[in-house]
Amino acid sequence: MKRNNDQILKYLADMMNETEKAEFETLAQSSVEIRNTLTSVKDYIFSIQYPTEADDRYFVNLLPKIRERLEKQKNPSVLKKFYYFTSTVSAGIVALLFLFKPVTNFDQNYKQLASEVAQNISDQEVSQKYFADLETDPLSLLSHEEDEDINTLLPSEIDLGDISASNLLKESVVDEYSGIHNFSDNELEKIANSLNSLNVK
Amino acid sequence: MEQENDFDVVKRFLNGDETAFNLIVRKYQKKIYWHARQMVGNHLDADEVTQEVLIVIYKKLRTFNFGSSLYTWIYRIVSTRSLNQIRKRQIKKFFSIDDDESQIEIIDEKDIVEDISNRERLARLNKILEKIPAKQRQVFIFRNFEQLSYDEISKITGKSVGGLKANYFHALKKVLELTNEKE
Repeated sequence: MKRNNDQILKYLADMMNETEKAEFETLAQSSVEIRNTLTSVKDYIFSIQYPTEADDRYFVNLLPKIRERLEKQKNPSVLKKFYYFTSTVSAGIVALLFLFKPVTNFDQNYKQLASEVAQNISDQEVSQKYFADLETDPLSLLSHEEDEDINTLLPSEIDLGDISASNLLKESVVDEYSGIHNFSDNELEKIANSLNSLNVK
Repeated sequence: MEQENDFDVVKRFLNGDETAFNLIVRKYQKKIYWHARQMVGNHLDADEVTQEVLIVIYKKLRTFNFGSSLYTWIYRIVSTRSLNQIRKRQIKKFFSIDDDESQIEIIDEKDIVEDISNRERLARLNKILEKIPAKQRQVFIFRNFEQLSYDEISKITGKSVGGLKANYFHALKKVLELTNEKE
């Protein structure tokens, strides 16, 4: 049966040579079964024709649609026209910016400015600006014997931990340092000059 | 006679007569649409293919050298574009997260086949045809629906007649098997 079906399909597909075709036709004439199968397959193939009845408005509107698309393609918008151009140029600019970073003297200028400030600012100015806020005179620190008391006089950001603050203070040094307040600017300058002549730094 | 007419129309187009293109569209649009429809199995894809093909015809007609009939040349374009559309849809389907049912609903809403029994017949036929490999389906459609000879199909597809016969044999076999399965 399967062989017969394949023969029928080969016959319908025109895959037989003239001799095979003649043999098959003779066989089909003598076999009712083959003849019926062949007829039913042919009928089936005929029955599965594709329906082509459709809404004609689609075909009426097709030509204007195509014309419109063609017109759009002929006159693309400016943006579309330069789409590839603008995107390529933008990508190029970004790449160039990465490759050839503009030379800025920002860092160098900043360093130079910092150095100038450091060199020109006087010690007095520094002490006035940055150490004037110290509420504690070194001598008053020495007068407090208890570490806890000393800690209360230290700025909040200084934490001595377990170290005894009184041990860090040497009386002689404190005395000398405290005495500096009593000198005038002229006297201090004289002292500095004489120290300079001794090459003491 | 048909070829002579086509020859004249193409000549007119090549001489700058834009209305000649309208004649070509009116003459071939239905054939183009229905071939695409049989190949791709739904209206939306068939519409896309039809429009693409007509635009390609307009643009490439200037290069048409009458090496074959206009009819064969047009069928060659439709055939290639339909196969491309099938491939495109397969790729889309592979990456899509939508279910098939929702897609079918969208397609049905815009279908130009209005008659319900025709629509049902079409749906049944499409379900069978979509299970056949695209190349076999192509030959089946050319032979069965377009009633073309193997020689004509060979000119369109560029395949040997022997190969086309084998394709048709397998397509026919598969169609009959699938129909019997359904019954």
